Amino acid sequence: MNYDRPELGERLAAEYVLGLMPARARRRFEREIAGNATLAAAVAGWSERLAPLDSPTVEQMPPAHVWHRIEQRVGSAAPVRAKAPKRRLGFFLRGFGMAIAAACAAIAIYVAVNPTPLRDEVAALAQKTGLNGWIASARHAVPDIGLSTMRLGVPERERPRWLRAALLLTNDALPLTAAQPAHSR
Amino acid sequence: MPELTTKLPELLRRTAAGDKPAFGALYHATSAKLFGVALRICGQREIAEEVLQEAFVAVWGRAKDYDPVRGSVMTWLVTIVRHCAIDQLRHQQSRPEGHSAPEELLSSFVAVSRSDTGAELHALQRCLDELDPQPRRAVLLAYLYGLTRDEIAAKLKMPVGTVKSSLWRSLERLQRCLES
Repeated sequence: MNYDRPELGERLAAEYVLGLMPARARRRFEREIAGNATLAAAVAGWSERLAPLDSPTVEQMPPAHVWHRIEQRVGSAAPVRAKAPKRRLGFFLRGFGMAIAAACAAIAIYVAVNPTPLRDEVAALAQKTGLNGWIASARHAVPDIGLSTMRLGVPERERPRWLRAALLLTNDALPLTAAQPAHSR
Repeated sequence: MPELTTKLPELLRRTAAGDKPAFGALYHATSAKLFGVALRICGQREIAEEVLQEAFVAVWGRAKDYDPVRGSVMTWLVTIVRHCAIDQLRHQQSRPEGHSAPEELLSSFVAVSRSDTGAELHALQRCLDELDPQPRRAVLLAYLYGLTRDEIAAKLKMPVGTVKSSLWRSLERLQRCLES
């Protein structure tokens, strides 16, 4: 879409602010705004122009459980929603090499530990390789976490040591289950 | 609320850096107004509560995307809440205001806004009054209550195509009026 024509940008910005854009188009538009200062300014302009319409709206205290629920959803590393595993995946990938990230857009790593001794082994591995924070919080949040990987797409020698070790460790002890690949962004 | 206005950018900036207490403070400073907005659009408390929750989870995730060039923090928050509320409405089968004529909806807004002493609202009202009645109603129905073009067309008994074309022309007039 050509956003260079100023009128088109203004029109879309007004449509966006009024809430008339369908959800999918809106998400695309929001990505555009992030990289386009003219569009961002147009959106700001329309938002500020129409914002006085909100001033007569009476304030009302929301019930306390709304905040508790928000805290739960943003505070834990556990998957409260189906999307959460993608966040943990991101944490993994950032910490353990851009090579994997570049090579495996479709990877889904989803850690599961069943029997207690194995959990300790994984925890020890985590400590050596710096996975600590993630494993620790996952353990608190999820009683059973299991390791399964699918389609790494990276040659064995390029996989980081922690992953080779984990795969060796779990090969006989855990069934490797296929997980849904994460959707590439 | 000048003190609050200076606080919000800092709270949002710290939220973007992962500061949970700042996020909490941001919520407590703004949630009453934002809940009011959600209620206005959704009409039902439980749904408005869901919307507020969704909106703030989105705020947590998108705080780093906020740029002051995009307007004030409060306006940015209101936009997120309005969009969450509108998304929620699309999933509902019946909307509370589906049973109200546009005049009822809009006259309640006019009544409340008369007691509002803000200069900005008066300036906007003055410019809105210069528009033709149907496009003016269309702007208000969209912004205040989250109606789609089709719903606006049905309520105002206008063809959808007319809503589309007259809406943009009216918004341009509104913009020129406000800039003068």
